[in-house]
Amino acid sequence: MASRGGPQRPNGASQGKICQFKLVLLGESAVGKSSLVLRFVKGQFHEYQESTIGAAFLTQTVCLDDTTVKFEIWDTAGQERYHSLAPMYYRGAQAAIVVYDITNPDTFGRAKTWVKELQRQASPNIVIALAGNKADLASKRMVEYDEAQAYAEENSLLFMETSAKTAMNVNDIFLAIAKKLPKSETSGTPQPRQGVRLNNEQGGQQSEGGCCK
Amino acid sequence: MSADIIEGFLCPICMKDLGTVSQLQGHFEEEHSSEDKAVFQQLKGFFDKAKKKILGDRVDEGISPNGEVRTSGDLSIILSGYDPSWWEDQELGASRSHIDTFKAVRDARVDFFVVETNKLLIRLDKLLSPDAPTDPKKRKAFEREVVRWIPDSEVPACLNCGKSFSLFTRRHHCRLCGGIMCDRCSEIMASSYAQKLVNPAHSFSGDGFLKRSNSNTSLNSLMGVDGEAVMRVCRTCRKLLERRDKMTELRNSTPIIVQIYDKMKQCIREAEQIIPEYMPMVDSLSQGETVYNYRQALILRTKLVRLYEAVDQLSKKILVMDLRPDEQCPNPRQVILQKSIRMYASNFMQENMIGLQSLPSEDDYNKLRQARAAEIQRRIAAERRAAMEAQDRERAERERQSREQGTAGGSGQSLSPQEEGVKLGHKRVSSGGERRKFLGGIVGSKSGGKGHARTDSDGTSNSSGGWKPSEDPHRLSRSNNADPMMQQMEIIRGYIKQAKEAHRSDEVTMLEQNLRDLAEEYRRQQQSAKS
Repeated sequence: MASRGGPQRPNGASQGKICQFKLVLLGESAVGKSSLVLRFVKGQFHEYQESTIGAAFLTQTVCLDDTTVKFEIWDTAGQERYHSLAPMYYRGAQAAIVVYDITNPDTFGRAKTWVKELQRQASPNIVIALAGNKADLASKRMVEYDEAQAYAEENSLLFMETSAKTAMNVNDIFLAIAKKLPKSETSGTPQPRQGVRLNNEQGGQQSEGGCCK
Repeated sequence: MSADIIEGFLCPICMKDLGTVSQLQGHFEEEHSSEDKAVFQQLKGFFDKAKKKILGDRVDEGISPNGEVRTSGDLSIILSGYDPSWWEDQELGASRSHIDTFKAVRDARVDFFVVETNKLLIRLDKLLSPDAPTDPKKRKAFEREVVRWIPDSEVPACLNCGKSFSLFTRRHHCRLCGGIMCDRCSEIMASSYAQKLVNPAHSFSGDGFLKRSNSNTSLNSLMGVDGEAVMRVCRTCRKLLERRDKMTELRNSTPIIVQIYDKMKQCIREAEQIIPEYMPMVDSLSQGETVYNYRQALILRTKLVRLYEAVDQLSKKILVMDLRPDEQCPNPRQVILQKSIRMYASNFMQENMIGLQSLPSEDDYNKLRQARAAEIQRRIAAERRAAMEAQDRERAERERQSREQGTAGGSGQSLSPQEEGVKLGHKRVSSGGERRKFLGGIVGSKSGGKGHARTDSDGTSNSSGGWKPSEDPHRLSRSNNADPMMQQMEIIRGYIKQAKEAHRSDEVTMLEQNLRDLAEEYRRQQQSAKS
């Protein structure tokens, strides 16, 4: 098996910092959420992508200048019966991609609902991107670029039209998100704590006897 | 008109009657706070006095005789027209660090002790040298050569207790600093202890200094009571030497708590090495697979149990340990440390013990294995049947087509039997290939890591570092499951397994976190559904 491509813990290496972000994909079913991630993570496209059950989990690492950004991607199912799961995944997310299908105006309406829900329920500084997928089917277009662009501007969303099939704008949208995310040392999903935390809240008590007793 | 007296909660500036104290205060702060601070203060003071009167009575009822001072103190803060909340936090005035001064003083002290102690050690080393004379007379001369002795005439009385020297109170010289003291104020150091001071590798046990017995007052010889060589030193030198001895010992010995902690950590590390090996075994075995040996899993399990027991016991030992039994109350920081270690250990065990229970018993495992073998047989048979049927259909279709072509296009268009045979053979091969692929899928899922490696290597993965669990083979059978939450937990469990097999520890951590979240959410849902 190939060696781990993921970020190794930097031990003073010149690698720069590593940030980890939780990203969630939302949108009506069959707009191409899974295809989008599959293209981003594996570089593949399946003409007959099966519909997602529950939520799928993928990771991908991108390099931005001196920063390594690791995306922890939750690709949620678009079907109505799985909507109860979505809050679990967008709640702690630092970024979200709301996907619609440019050939289907209903999915654009649904995307707007998702954006509204995110603005209300998700963390206040979440970075939201709107992706108009299936851009390769421009001949069957039903949602105008300008309309979506205007809506995105109004709500200060990142916006791109993408195509998982031709890979158009797929990496770009993830990179744009990575650029927009705050990359302070402490940002991202906190690393799981290991070992003992020695100074807990009772630590304020003065211990008796210093060095010069 | 001037005789009109208005009464009530009047605003002193606009003379409006506000009805209540609080309303007046609110009104004043809103409307006039910037206009006249002084009036505001006065007003506040007035109301505070009133409040004091009202509150004071209430306080009087509540106070105990000795609480008098305290309450009045509190009241003065609340009521004397001064409310701390009015003021912004006062800025810290000029400040000055005394650390440098402290360090200078401490360094001087440390230097002094270090220099003195080193001087003593160098002298001690010389005195102990193997070629030092043993003859008492020569020995004395040698000792005086190493250390300049203070002349007897300069010291009329013991420097320590002030007793004047006489025929009965003899002068004694410290062999290390040359100072003079009486016999009672001198200390007798065993030379083996001195050896240890000079050379830490020298083993020594017992007291470094001899107990002074009354009968032993005339200790002029070099020999101690039990025949051991001894050396007379003063108390200052003794203190210096003992301090150094203590320091070296402290530096060289790890405290018992650290030793136990190290042992515990060792056990945890060992367990952590075994767990990633053991967990996939349990998962695999409890599905009746035969990739791993059941005995081997049992052995690992026993090992783990033993390690967990050790961790448990060691951490308990740390928890109840009393480091300094002589002190009345233990150091609070130490207690926190001990509790944290115990907590860490029990967390570790809680997280990892689960796998221990889930290993099926040997009988169960055998049943599982048989069930699985039967299942696989059944599936292979079904697949084979399906493949045969497909082949038959294919053949029928082809025959129909060729018949149609034959009838439509005339005799020239029909395929020769040979050609047809080739085509059919080709088809057969390809359908056989499909079947092999399917069987490969079963084998792949059975042999875990290998299966994953296979998908990785033959996948057209172009991105580095991307990770995607492979599709769940049972997805269709699961899609009709009742609760999406349960279903999702099942999915995540599958992912965790795959991530473990791919040695994706980061992903495992994330997924496990998500599984916990899901379980928590599910529990909450169930509870809210009940109530």
